[in-house]
Amino acid sequence: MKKTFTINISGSIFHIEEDAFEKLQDYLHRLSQYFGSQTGGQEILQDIESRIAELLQDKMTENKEAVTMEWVDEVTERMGKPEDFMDTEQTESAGGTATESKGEKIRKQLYRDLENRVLGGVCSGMGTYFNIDPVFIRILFVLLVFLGAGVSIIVYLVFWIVVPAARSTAQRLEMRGEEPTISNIQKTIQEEIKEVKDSFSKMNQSESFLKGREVADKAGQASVQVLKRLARALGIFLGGLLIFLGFIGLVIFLVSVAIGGSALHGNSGMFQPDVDLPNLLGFFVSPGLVGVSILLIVLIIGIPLLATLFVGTKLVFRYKTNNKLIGMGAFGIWLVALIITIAITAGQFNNFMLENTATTGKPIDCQSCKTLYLKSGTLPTSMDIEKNIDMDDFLVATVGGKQVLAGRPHLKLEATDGSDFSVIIKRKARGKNNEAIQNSLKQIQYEVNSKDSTLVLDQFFTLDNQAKWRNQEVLVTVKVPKGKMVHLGKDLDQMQFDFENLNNLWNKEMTGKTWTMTPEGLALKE
Amino acid sequence: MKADNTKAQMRKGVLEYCILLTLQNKPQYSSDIIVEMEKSRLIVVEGTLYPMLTRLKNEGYLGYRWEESIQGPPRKYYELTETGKLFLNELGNAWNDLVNAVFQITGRK
Repeated sequence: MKKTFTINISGSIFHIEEDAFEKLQDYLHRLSQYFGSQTGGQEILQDIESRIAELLQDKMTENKEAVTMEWVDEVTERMGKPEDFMDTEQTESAGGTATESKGEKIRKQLYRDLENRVLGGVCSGMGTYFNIDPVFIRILFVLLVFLGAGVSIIVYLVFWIVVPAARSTAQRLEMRGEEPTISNIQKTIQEEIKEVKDSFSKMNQSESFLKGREVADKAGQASVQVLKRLARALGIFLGGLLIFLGFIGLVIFLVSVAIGGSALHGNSGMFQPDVDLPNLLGFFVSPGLVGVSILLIVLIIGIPLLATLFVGTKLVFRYKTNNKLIGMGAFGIWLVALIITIAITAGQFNNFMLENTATTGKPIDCQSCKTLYLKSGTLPTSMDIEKNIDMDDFLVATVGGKQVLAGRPHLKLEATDGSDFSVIIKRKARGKNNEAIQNSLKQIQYEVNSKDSTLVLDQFFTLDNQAKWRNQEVLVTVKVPKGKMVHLGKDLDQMQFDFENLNNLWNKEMTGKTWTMTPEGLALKE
Repeated sequence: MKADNTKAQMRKGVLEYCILLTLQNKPQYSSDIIVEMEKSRLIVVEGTLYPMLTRLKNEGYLGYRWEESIQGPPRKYYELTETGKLFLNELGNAWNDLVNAVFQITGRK
């Protein structure tokens, strides 16, 4: 028993068996690919279809009413393959296009191979595309799952969604078609070059100019072909590069979003990022917005990364997609995310509207001292600085197992007419109102201690765990009586020195030395 | 093989002439043309005929009309146009020249 379809070929009704139907459909599909583009192509197709109908009609008898595979084979054999009966004159006038369309007909395309699938048929499709056993591609994917912390699962899903499945016979043919792969391209390029050479030598032999021009035309078309192939090879290379970049980018990005530094501390994988995005965001935006911000960042950064992957795969593989829909959709989402982000950011601005300071000062109880010794406090030795978030004025560090924001205080040495050393600490912060500023100021942790002739300064100030970054600053001013000296400890290598007359010196050049406060400013003690 | 290529080229030129010849006296149904061509073994696969008919029609040498048939859908009957007749005459002269040329050369040898 076989399933049959009812079809209409140029006005005649036939019952046709399923396999025969697929074969006939495939044959007509190939014909239309062949003739569809040329002038009068539709007419040729109609003529051929009506002839096929006629031939099938002749075969019908009372006992045999359904078209079978054998009939279709017989008829298509009688009609011939499209490349057999291409009209010569048109072939010549169309020049290279005929050979080109012949190439296109069997052009290999990437499909998902549902017949040999395990999951979505992505690996088996790729195996068919590259002519290798899909098992190797599956192994590669599984390996990447372990190495890339799961990003290849996303890549797989992208392929699953984007690459069409080979459902019809024609698609299955295209899936198994010949061509791409890099070695084939190389082969074709060599063939094309040989053809061009042949054409030129032929042209030299022929006496007639007219003929010569025609050959030159052909040679021109052939060199266009060569250029096309080269462009394709370049495209594959570029696509590979894009896939690589997109993949690595996705791995790093997603891991920093999803897992972050908090869940996996230490060396847990190849791509262990140091940035814990959710935690980091908490320093800038109000708690309610952290989730939204993460989603927005995922979209804003993730979409271009996925687009990179997509463009890369389109360059390397040949497959049909609705580029416009995917592209416009992704771009639309990206744009919306960007606009919302801008809106949120703008909303954050009034958190920086006003600035205020809080100043505390204390004298250093050491009248007899001639020299004040400045030394580093426990920070930075007791903290762990996140290397990739370290700007001059603010950085992220781990203190006592907690991630906090920290900053480098500014140190100033100022002359005073009095006879005592003293230290003034000025805290600065911004906010939308005074209350918020005072709150931010209280969250600044900074310690200065003096004992006899020693002043111990922390080289970092930190913010409380819940604090938001509001451009907090700490200014430490040490008043130095004229004629007295200050020794800068060698360990003061992190602080920012604001010495008016020495601002072109590096920290290294100032520490470990004793400086005298002269009426003109600081001078190195001789 | 080189001979195959030359043979195909020869046949294609002659094929065009012969198609026009079958239409010389009366309009013909395309399947009838095929039958004649297959009898004289000028075409190997039937598909060859259709692109050629369409091209000759587009070049103005052939016209066609639809005729009802007793069995099945209406059929396309091809016929020579006036320019087609002139074209056929010209081809006929060229063919005679060719035949003469071949005879002369083979006769001389």
